[in-house]
Amino acid sequence: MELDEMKSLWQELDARTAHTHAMALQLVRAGQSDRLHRSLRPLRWGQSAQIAFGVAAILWGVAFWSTHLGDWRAVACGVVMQVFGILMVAFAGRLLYSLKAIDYAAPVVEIQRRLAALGAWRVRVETPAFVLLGAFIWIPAVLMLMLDDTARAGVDMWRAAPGLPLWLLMNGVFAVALAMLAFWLLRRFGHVRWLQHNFAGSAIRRAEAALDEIARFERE
Amino acid sequence: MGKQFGWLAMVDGERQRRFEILLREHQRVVFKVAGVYARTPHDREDLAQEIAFQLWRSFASYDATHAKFSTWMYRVALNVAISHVRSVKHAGAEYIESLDGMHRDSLANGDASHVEALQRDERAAALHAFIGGLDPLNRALVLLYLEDRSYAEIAGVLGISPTNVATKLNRIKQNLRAQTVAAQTIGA
Repeated sequence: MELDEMKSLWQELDARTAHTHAMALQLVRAGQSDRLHRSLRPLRWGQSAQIAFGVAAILWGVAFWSTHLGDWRAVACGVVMQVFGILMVAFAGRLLYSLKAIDYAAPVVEIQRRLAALGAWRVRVETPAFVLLGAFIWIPAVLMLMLDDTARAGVDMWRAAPGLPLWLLMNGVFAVALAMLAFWLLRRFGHVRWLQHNFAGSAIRRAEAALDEIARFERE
Repeated sequence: MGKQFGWLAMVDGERQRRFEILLREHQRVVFKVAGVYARTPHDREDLAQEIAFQLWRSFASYDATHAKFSTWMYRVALNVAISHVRSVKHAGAEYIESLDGMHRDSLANGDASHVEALQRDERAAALHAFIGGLDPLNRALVLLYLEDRSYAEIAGVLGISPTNVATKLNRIKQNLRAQTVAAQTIGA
């Protein structure tokens, strides 16, 4: 069947479906926003949860360092927690703002390119950054909790366990090194495709495929 | 202050009425775009609602001097639909169920003879399979072509040049012809 024949058939079928469309008008009346916008909801909830978590980290960090001003190591832990919270809020806020600023009435290729670039940035930059931060952020969190507990018991934690911070840091470095070694071994023995297929790599592939598809569409 | 709020409410009410009239006139665009990009009939309804919601959100910035309502509507509807496809895993093959179902209902209600209806059904299935095999951007291009939009309007909706539109459509026509010849050769 030629494309022009398809056009005639499409219009013939369209004329026959007119009654179905008329019946469905009630579905698209404005004001039913509680049932609408479902596909973006999980993303919005996820980012809102990230902002809430980030604000909690900021408040905890600030409250901690401001009450331990005489102990530079405690101040450092609080500041790290605060910076982590700020990063969480900034990343989520940036994404929500970018989504809100998108004008869906702009040409399709332009909007799809912007959306694909946002998705690619998330999987290429944001996710690895948080994975790396996540491998270490538990260290100041544990130290902050332990400092409060030991202070309540009247014990100076830094004196009682002077090697603790370094030991925790080594654990973090070891976890990252182990992950990197596993990745290197998978790559060395040609199993990267399996890793990409089963883990976050598929999201990267999808984001890159979307960008490629748009670029190809513009170029051809 | 109260007067100001009353005036704003009146403007908003007027805008909503205007929007509903325009949407009623052009509602078929919403359902056709949803039918082409959704996977199942349920998904089609959800997508149609999402498109309508985005149309209402964007309506405040709609400027009739810059674009026809239908052109503006296609842009919003296609942007929402393509984003929807990209956010849903494994979209594509299953969507045919939605579009095919939409058209199959109409064929069943038609007054054509049984043979004629069957032939049309087969051709409709081929049309749906063809659209289903296209990537989201080319699907938008073909939908606008099937809707008998001019090359200039298609270019305006998609954000590419009219020459590019013509080139792409020619290529699609050539591919279709080649596929038909190949199918006939295998069949013979």
